[in-house]
Amino acid sequence: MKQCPVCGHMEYEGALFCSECGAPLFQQPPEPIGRRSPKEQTRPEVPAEEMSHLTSGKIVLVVEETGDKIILNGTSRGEWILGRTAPGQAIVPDIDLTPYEAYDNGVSRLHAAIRISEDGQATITDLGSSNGTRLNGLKIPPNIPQPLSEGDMVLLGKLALRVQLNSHSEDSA
Amino acid sequence: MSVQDYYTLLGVSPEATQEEIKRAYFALARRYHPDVNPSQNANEIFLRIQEAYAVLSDPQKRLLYDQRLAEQAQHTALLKIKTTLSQSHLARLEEPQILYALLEISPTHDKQNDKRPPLNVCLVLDRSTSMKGERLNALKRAAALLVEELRGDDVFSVVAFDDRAEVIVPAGRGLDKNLILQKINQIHPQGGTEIYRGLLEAYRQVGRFYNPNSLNSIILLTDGHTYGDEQKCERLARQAARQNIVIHGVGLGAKWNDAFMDKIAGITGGASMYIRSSQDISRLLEEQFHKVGKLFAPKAELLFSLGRGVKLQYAFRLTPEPMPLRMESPTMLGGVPREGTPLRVIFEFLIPPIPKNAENFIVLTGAINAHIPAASKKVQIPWSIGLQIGKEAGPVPPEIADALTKITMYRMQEQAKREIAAGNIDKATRRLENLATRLLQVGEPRLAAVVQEEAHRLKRSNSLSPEGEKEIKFGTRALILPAEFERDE
Repeated sequence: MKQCPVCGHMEYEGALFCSECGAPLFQQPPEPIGRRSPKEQTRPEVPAEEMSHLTSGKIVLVVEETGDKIILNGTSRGEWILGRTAPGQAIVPDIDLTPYEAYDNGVSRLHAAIRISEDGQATITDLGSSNGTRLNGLKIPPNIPQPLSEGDMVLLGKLALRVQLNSHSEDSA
Repeated sequence: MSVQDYYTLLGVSPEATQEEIKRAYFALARRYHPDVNPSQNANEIFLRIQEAYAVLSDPQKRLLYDQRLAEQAQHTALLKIKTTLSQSHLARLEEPQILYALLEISPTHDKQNDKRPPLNVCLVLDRSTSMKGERLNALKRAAALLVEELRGDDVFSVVAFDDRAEVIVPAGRGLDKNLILQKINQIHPQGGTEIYRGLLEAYRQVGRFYNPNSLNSIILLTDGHTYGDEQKCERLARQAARQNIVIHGVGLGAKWNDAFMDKIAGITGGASMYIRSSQDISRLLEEQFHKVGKLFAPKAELLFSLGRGVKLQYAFRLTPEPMPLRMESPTMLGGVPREGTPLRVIFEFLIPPIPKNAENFIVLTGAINAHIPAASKKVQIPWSIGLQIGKEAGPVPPEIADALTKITMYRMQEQAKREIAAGNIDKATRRLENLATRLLQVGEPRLAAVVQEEAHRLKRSNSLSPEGEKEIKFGTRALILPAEFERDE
């Protein structure tokens, strides 16, 4: 028998996934990116106009306590999962808030998701976090997207983030 | 005549020396001898080993056997199979271990494969009151599109049903398309849902032009539950399966009985499909219709017996239509597409502790049967799994890892539903939360959100919403399809 590193469930030898939590129990093959040929890697990336489309409606989160800016870009699906990483965690959020004392502030591993819809509307969704998410001081129900506006204050547990939409990001882009 | 390849059965190569054959035989005979191993299964294997040795140990008989094998190989060359195992060797363990096997069946390249055999399709449409309005209208439009695609030698029919069945378009070739459309347009919603009535009439319509070398199919579309006639439907499905008539289920909205439709379709090698809203009817029905036309072998069936102490824990068809399969012999694997993604099935075996001194281990012996309309031929291909013991297991093949990543998520929702049925709400809730986490990890945030929401609902109200339940089941199923298949959004 062997033990699942994530949830501790016991599995038979040869089992490749934990039947309890679904975590892989074997060495994951390298991501396809690692197998890319050098030729592909040097090929010019996404055309400029496409890039501007992806980043139009860019969101910046300002950590209140430190003033650090977290810029949300680089994913084309228009969605970022906010959370923190912990030892043995199989899943990594898009935005790891560990540097901002996420654990002490009560941030869940997968706390909330910020999305930009096709019409450019930004929303925040609490992902059923332990300590909840507050938008401008009001607790939001889990799994229901809430619209975000310029200057909104988001609390993940006790971690405060100020939302900046589009404009103020030029200096750090 | 046995369907086994004697060499595979004994675990030796066709080039093996007499000495090697003898050694392999004695090793296996010791293990499966009725005195040592009283199970019925072992006895069968023992007899087959005897038979194999009787032939292969006699050079004259072996030569004749080799010739017959070569003939058979030519005969079965219409289909080829490929097996990938999660480990290249079994570990010598005193405790049970798990082995996964991925089976792929595809046509061998052959020009005659390219021609699609004629269709013999009956469309069975639910016209119960609940279909009223947009659903029925969308359905009529979808049916009209299908009619446009018929070839002159295709047979087509339409049956509508509520608590009785009515033949809207009797089966026929070269039908007047305008007339068909006119008749389809006259379908009016009424009554309840009795699937058996519709299915029986469809079976009769397909039967009127039945030809084993056509693609005989029934596409059943419903939005409701049928009550009291489930067993009659099952019997009819078995009857259809024997004649290579494949039933495909298409369920609309949240209220149809997906478990029942999976079962009926599964018996015949078909599958069921979920259509969330009326606007998807046209696209998905057409997709289903194309799948029927793309079949090279409408149904491949696996007959098998398991090695000593081996348990088959799970069997799942990955492509062309993802679905869990029956775990006893014979099991219907499904249709083999003419081109593109082959028929792929993954098996999970629980292997018992390995006997000391064993050098190899037989997991499964069996054969795949299929009928190929384009060649008017039946084929039978031996399929068995045997492994050597004790060496390095080797890395996990990526195709196995990939398939299991996705199936694991499907199995988690199955397991959660079993837990709900058993009243174990806490466990089911936790499992759904775990599933949501996994879905986020593989980049499926939308489905993850649905699962999260249902986990909360479950905690609050001890049950899932019918919509959410179907979203999760068919959503995790759709993940299994390779990227080239069209997916929602």
